[in-house]
Amino acid sequence: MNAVFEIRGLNLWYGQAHALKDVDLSIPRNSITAFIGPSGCGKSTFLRVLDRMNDLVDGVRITGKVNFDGKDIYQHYEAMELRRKVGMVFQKPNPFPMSILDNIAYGPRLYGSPNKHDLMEIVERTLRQASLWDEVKDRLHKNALSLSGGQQQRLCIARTLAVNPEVILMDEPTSALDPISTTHIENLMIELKKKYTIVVVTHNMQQASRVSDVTCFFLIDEQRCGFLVESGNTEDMFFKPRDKRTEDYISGKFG
Amino acid sequence: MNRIRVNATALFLIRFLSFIAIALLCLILGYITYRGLYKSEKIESETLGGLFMEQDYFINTSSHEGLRTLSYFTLQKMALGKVSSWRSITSVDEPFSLYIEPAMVEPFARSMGIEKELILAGGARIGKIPKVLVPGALVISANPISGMKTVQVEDQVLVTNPKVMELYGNNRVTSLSKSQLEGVLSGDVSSWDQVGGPNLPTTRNKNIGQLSLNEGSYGIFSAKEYLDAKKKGSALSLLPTEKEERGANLTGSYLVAKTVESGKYGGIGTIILNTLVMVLLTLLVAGPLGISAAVYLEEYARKGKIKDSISSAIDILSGIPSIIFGLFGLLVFVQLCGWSFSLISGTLTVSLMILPTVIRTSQEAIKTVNPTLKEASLALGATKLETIWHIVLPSSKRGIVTGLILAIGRSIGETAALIYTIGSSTDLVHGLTSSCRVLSMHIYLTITEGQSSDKAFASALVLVVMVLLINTLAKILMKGGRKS
Repeated sequence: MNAVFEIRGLNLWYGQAHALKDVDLSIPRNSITAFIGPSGCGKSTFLRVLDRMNDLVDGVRITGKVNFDGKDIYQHYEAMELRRKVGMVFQKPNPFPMSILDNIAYGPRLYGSPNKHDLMEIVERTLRQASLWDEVKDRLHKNALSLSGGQQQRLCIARTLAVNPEVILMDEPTSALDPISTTHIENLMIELKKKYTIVVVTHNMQQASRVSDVTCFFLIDEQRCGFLVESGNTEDMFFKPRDKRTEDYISGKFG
Repeated sequence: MNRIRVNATALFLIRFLSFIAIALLCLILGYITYRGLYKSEKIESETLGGLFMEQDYFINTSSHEGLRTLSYFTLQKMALGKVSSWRSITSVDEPFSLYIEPAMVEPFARSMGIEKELILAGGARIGKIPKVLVPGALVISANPISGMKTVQVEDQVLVTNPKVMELYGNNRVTSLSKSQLEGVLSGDVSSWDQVGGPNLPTTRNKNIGQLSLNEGSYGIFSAKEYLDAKKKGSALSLLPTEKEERGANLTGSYLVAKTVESGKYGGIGTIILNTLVMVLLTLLVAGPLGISAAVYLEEYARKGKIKDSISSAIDILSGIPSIIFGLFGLLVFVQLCGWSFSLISGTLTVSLMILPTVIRTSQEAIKTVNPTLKEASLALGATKLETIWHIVLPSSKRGIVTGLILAIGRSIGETAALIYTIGSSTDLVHGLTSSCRVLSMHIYLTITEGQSSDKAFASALVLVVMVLLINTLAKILMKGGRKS
């Protein structure tokens, strides 16, 4: 299990506010890494470092080293290039207000003009990967907003898969969904990790223990600055945490 | 109890005020519609309405407008070949031609009080009447001609002693209104000073020869009698009376015909086309500029002092009176650039005027685009430009288009910004630097030049309908936007 991401000494400021402090972490390939921790501890911010989505926010300053496939993401990659390889699924399903087909085709069309046959192949493959194909194959030209919330989220995953990423970042992907849809997505994540590396931010402790291989626990200090408490195999983290704070959080004493 | 009574009173007051407001608006709209559709201008006429000449022949016309009566003096001018166009009679610029059946030349000349030879010299076509006549022909025949309208001639005139119309102090009688005429005829007006004339008693005289003897006397005679008496050397004056014109004002031909004599006659066909050209060009200039500026401000500009000051500058610009934009256009486009009064000067001035509105509405539309959609696009590796092009603009399309339509509505009715910039040629615009009259300017000019208030109202109705259509379109678009 080699590492996809190597993060060393990462610090992040929003203007004057120190938001993340000295994060060191390796994210292993073809596995699911879960970020857990109380609200505002910087886990989403950290997730957004990995595909440089923080670049879009005014006044963000980042120091430290983040390597993707052994290369620094700020020196060796253009942001667009990196985001193609590191896809992202958001908290609320956000399909584009266009047809299901056009949603999937959006990414591939950016990188060339695929012919109809190739495009249909991509659409079918990604929708099957997102286990949505059977539900929508007859209405690919319907507006994506006509789907249910869970279907929309799976469509968003399929849309991300359509540009062949190596890593999929998921920012609380099930927090806006009902339990059945959540189960769908969780099964999907386990299926997808065979081919992709998945990093997921979650508030749901059970979810982290059910699906993830590695768990990272974040906290905020007295200056409201987030930091990584510890990370390790999910089983170890949940059953024999090394840090007292992890144990307290997992057992529900705070957070 | 007191609170309840205050509440009831306030409710009544609010209802009353809103009723007044609505009633006023309906009144204005109704008045414009009425004046636009029906002629109601009072014109001075030398002949008295409703009294017609007895004649031994029929006068037929192929003129398309609702011509029913002609004044004796007009017909005389026609007989002498002094009329070449119908425009001063029906306001339609049709060429005039006169046909007379050979047997009718004699009675026609006699009733007109002129020599036969003068009619011949005037260019009247005498002979068998052709089966097919050009529009605008007037035919004198023994029998009515089927397919043509018969016209009657008003020939009774109000004749007075010249003293009645002389300057008296600072006043003089130049014409009589309908009620004044009734007063004089019924005897309610016993002295001319009651209608603004000299202090002479009004006495009616049936004998035209005696009118010159009695200083305050008047009488109603036929035009021929009046002309004959004048020829004999009697000192007589003809007192014009006010007559209300009746009939349709805004007709189909008015919408398509060319303008004649700066809007006094003819229609507004070319002016409507000029207006459309100007609005289209304005849109072509202000649309891309405004949308680009809005995209820059919403998507690229960093938050800070510069963006804030640009935003407030736009707000200030949108509040500046349009006459000041007109002044700017005069100094910069007309004089500095040397484009003189032209389509391009006017278009650019109006474009500048509506630009702040376009920017603001586009900005608002872009703001409503869900930021998570933008994130989703960027997360797929799209560039900012691709995201704007594929996600932001399509999602805000409706709002932007609505804003543009409202801007069209503003530019179509704009006058002040155009007074100094676009010129007033009524011809169809034929180039960017050609002077070009638009509808709003046409209304302004027909009134200030005193051409015709009826024409101005007809144009106003057209303009109101255009603006209403545009605003309705914008409203429909806005509603559609809310649904999806």
